[in-house]
Amino acid sequence: MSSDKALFPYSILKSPILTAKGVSKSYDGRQILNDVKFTIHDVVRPGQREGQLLSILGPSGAGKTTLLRILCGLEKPDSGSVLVGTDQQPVVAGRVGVVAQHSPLLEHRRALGNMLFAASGNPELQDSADEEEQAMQLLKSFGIEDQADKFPAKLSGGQRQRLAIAQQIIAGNDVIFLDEPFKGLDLVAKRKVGDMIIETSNRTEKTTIIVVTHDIYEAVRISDMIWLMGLQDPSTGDPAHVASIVAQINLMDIISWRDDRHRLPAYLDMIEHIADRFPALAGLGFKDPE
Amino acid sequence: MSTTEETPPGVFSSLKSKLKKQFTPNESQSDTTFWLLGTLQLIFLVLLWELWRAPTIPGTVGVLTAFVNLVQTYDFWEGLFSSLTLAMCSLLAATAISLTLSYSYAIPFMRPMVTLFTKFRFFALLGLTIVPRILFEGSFKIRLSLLVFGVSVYFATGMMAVVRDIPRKRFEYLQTLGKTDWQVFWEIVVIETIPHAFENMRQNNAITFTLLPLVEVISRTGGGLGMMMWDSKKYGGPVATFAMELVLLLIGVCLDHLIKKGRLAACPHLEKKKGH
Repeated sequence: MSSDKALFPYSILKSPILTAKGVSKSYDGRQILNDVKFTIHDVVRPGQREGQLLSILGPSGAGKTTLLRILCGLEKPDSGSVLVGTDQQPVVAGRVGVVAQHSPLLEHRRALGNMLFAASGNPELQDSADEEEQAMQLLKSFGIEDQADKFPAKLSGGQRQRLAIAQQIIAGNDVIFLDEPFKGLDLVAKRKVGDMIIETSNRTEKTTIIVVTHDIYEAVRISDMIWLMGLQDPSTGDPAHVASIVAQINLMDIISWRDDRHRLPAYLDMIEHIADRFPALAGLGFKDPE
Repeated sequence: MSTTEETPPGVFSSLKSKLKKQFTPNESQSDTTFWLLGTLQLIFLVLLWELWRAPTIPGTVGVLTAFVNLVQTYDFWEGLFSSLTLAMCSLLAATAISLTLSYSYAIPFMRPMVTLFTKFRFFALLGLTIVPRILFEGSFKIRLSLLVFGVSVYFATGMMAVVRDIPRKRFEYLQTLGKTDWQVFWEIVVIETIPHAFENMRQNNAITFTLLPLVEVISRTGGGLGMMMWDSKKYGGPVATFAMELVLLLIGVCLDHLIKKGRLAACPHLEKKKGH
């Protein structure tokens, strides 16, 4: 599936920045992913929010983590390919950013040290003074500049998450995947994390955040577009053994973007619509052909 | 009135609850309680040694007297200097060799070689003396090579396990930041395992002091406290041996404490644990 003009009527679609072409993957003879295809374009929406915020949404066991690892170059697909950047080069680890669950950081470096370590690989930053200035600016924009001298062990879960994202940004990654950022959080914390992700995507026009999650409520609340993933045949909707992207929902058309989007009736309708599909996406009710 | 009425019930129940805590599994313990209990237990052990020892085993007073006599002899200080020089040189050499080998476990080509090296901890040290005797001249080099070998195999085993058990996710995290394979190796395999290296060094230090007298005895040359223990008759018999054992124990414990402090100084991100 690819995003096209029909899906983004109010947006200016620029070049593709991430393309999955028929990605399939098996482990130990068991196929996990089948023919996953989609394209993410660099999108400009005049007068609207700046960056892009997309979600890959599916129940547990739907192959989201496997897909994520392939999309960011940590694993190779058995067939198909993933192309990144405006030059659409095959993905290698480091071309796109990833913030894994529990926000890994370098525990032996202070918050600023973590930022400078990530900055040292960014060719756009000219010297160490430039790196430090950018690092402090980013820490400030994420509201953790007063934590610059602290070690990660002294930061709260939210501060760690923000530092991990800031680290990916200063490393020069415009496309950043967030793996299950809402996992294990209560409702209030989820809202805070969701708002922080929206703010991050709005920092610059070229930032694209892709959230990989099973949290329907937050995915619908924050995303411009959702890819539904699970154990269904995308062409027929029939149950399948192997996971793939089964639907693409452009929320910008259905629920126009506003801060109180989650109060709109359309938001609740969309939640219901996706929740109804979740059992099928999880492979429940699937019977082996006799 | 009964005894219960004479003692304030608050104090009694508080003491009872504190005592109960000391026998409850996984309870925390304050530093004061730890040291108080430790002192009491040490006194108990000394009393046990004094009251229940076999007549042939030296008593505390005898050992202390032997210690006072020993420190007045030139041989003791010469032996102690020789042993400590050997121990320090061995500690440094074994640490360097073991860390190099353990870190190189991250490189697939080196894995079989490092694994094989760690298996040599089952190799009897006594029979090994022939090799350094052929290879090296001078008693110090022979003793040093034996001790370094004896310690390195254990240290490398411990550190190799640390390197082997680094989760794949740690490497992937730095890969997603665009770091090269060697940058990932340096940051994750070398820098991030420094606290473990210090912990292993503490064990290394302990093994050094355990093997030190043995190596001095089996090499049969160069003196040291080990040889003095072997020739204990010259210095006052078993009481002198016990005194020298105590000297080595105290020096080993002090060094252990120094390495522990060094670990905290080198790794400020590690929180100093309060209590026990």
